Amino acid sequence: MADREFVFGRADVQKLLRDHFVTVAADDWYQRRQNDAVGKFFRAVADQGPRKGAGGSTRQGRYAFTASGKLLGFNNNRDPQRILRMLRESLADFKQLPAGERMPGAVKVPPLQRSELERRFARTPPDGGLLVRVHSRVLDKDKEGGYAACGKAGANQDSLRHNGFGASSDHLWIRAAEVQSFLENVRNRREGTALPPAIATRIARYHLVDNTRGEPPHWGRDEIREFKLNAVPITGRPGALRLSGTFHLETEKGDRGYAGVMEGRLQYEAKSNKITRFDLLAIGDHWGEGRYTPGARPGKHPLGIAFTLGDPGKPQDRVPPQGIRWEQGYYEAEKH
Amino acid sequence: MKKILGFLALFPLATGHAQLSKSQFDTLFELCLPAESESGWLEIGWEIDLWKARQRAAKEGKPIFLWEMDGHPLGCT
Repeated sequence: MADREFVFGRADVQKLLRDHFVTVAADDWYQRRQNDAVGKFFRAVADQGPRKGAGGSTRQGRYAFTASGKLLGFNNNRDPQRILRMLRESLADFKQLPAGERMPGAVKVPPLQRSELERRFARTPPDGGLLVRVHSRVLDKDKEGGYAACGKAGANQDSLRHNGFGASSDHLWIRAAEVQSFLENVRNRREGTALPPAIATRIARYHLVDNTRGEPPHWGRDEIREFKLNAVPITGRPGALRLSGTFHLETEKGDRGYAGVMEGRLQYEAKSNKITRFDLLAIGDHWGEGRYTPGARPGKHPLGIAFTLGDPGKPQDRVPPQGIRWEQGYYEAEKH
Repeated sequence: MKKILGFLALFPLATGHAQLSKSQFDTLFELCLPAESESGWLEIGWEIDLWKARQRAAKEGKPIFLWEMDGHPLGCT
């Protein structure tokens, strides 16, 4: 989160990367474990640097390297000046390499089929399903009793520590068969249709979380005290549904929780059974923090979470959900 | 700073669960999405497939820059 704000949000970093590098972002949790060509290539690059993943530990950081796998630079600091220096030095070193290491077409990278990837760690967007962007933001209550964003991005430029006031990003995946089943139920019930348990529990456990300061703890099944989300046809608007519901998630000890309401709009094309709009908002009071999300405001404070359809053509919208590291557990959240 | 005036009067949290009007929903929904000023980091044009990045780098004669985090850098991290 802090890198987005302090490093990659800067125009000089963006220009240098766009003009001179091929940029790629990846989740180290997968790549340090993958026992396939991708994982082996990544580790061969990373292990030329200071982070060698001893004992299976993280290799996270920023790396510059060649297509053949020669490490040019490494940095794990969010000081933009240090990143810029590393990029410039790496680029200078790249230009000094023999032509066979750097000229267009000189290095041959073989094709790699998805079937060659280690199945346990290969995550593919559900074919024909929904890719939904999920963004959370901590909010303040103002004097008039309304809501406002907290502070501004960039408020901590001196410490380079983010304050958790920005919008977070995650992704919700819904399979095509789940969508079809849900829409069939909608057609047959005019008074309203509850979301299928698998989708409802997936949203509750993996997406109604405070991830504004990092990787959050997800909810256990027994921590769902209440979750109701119904879809009701909107009179006079074919294919339009109103979503509304309530939720209450809380640990047994009560030290972390989130409770509030949901409201949304869904639109589908009757002939194709294609959902063209999925806008859902959860708003409620959140309290507590997780191991990797310290620094929560004391007490209960408003947290808003917005869901909206992603664009499958954009790489950033095809990023797997944080909660899908155990794929079966994610898709069958109501069972496991 | 964006705000929603008088919202709580119609929206008691966790209890009561009053409905949101369309304008209240639209305003609060927009507030929770990333603002344009927060999204510049996406303008860089990130790949999410390391092998594809390798292939592009080889073809274009460029080095690769990899942003590797626990939790996907373009997702929840």
